[in-house]
Amino acid sequence: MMYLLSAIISVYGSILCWIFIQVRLEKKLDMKKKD
Amino acid sequence: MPFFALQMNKTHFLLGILLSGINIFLILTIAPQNQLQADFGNIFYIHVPVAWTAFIGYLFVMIFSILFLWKKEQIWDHYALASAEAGTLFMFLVLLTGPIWAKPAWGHFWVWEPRLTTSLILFLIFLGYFMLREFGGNPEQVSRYAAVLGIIAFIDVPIIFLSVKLWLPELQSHPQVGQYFKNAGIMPTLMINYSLLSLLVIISFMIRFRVHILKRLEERNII
Repeated sequence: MMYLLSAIISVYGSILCWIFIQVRLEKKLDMKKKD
Repeated sequence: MPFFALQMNKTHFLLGILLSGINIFLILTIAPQNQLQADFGNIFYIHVPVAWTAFIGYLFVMIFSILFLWKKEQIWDHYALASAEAGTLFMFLVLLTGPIWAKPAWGHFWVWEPRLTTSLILFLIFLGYFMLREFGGNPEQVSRYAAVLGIIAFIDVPIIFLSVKLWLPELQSHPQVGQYFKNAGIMPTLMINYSLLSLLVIISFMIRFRVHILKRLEERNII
């Protein structure tokens, strides 16, 4: 079970982190655009 | 307008979260297991769709690169780069979940067998692709070289898929195609995971594309 949980957490965790980082980056660039 | 201000993007993301929940529940509880393996065999339900999604990302790199070389419009280059980034994220996850499965199944995290080696080569080719983009010099020339590399790199995808047939069985550690699970009951969970990961790769691609466009505008001092 430990291996299965590690795989699930690493896949979904990585994808969510990636999307979160990109959303933050996009927000930052978008703010500059508004300025 | 921010990416998630659009109703469609928000719906995609919420659908992704909902499908993730259903999928994790299915994998942990009712999805059929491989009889020869304990529950770690269910990593298959994640590993295989992640690999397919990465390959689809790379297929689009090839298509957009051909379109860029043909039409010479910069937009196709941005599409190709965003696809390469989304594809490489998923390829990284393939190389992460593979060893997690391999440790209990084979006793080692990594074995230099054909499918693993060709998958690693594809990942390394795309690391080279990003290095070329970053440090290649003249942007117009780099876009052309990157497009050619993106097209050539795709040759490795069918090699990975056929590696279990192309090399001698004595060299293989991977199960042959269709041998891992003979149970038809695997399909619903597998299909949910295919849909979910396709959705997530589309979101990753779209948001990354938007970031590229905003960065490009910033570089040109338009914003």
